[in-house]
Amino acid sequence: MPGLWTLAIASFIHGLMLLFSYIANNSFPKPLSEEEEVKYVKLLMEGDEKACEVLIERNLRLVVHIIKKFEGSGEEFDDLVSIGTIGLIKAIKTFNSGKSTRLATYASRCIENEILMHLRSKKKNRAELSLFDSIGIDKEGNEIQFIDILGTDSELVTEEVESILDKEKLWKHIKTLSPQERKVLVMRFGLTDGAKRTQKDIAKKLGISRSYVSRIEKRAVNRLTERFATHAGQ
Amino acid sequence: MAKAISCMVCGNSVPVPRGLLIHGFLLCRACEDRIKNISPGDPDYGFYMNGLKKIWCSRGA
Repeated sequence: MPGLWTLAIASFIHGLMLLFSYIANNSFPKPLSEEEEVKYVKLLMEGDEKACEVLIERNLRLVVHIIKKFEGSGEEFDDLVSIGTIGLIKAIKTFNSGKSTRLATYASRCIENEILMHLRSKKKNRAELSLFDSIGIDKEGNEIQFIDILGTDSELVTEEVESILDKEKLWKHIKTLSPQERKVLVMRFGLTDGAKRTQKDIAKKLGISRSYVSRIEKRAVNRLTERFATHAGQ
Repeated sequence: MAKAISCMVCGNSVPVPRGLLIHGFLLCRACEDRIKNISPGDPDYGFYMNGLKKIWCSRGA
């Protein structure tokens, strides 16, 4: 890891030195004076394409100035200048001279904002893992993706676990009911064999009336509801 | 008749007046419009970012 950092820092410094020597050699034109800026902004507002080109070119040095603030961000130098250039183009294309801000001030904000948005976007994506990400190769040299090693759909696993936990809770509370209430609920909802029986069937089996079964069932369900509510979150 | 040169981003040949000339490199109108509205995180962002690097890598330009 330290080797990677050293390489990244060396690459950044090398790029920066190249660029500074480039600017020192006057390869990029000097920034506009305030009067020139006013003149070209006026032309830009009239829809002059040439003025737009001049304003972009004469503010390229501003991009370099802004990206110096992001030296420690771990980003490649050439990526940063390019992102800064996108910010600059957006600034020139959306500048409104009606507001009292100078173009250079507005462009600086746009360039900085573009870089910050890029850094945020990268940070967000870093935590994400695609099911189709490669995690290595098998003995035959075929690529193995993350999805290949998942035996079961993760949602199904979660549902199964929750279902088991719910059943455990239910049996814990059913044990606190009276034997008669327990029998009625087990038969009515098929809790042991999955076969749900009618109140009439249960009444015949227990030798009591159907309406009595109904009352026992209602009371048992109410008790269970109360117990679930009391022990919620446990 | 305007001379046609390639866009530094998409590589399409475009007559010079149809786009922006930045430091000798053409940015066609279509790419210019896309750049105006693109946000970091967009799947195409890297394409435009890499295309614009030509402006900065042209020491001899």
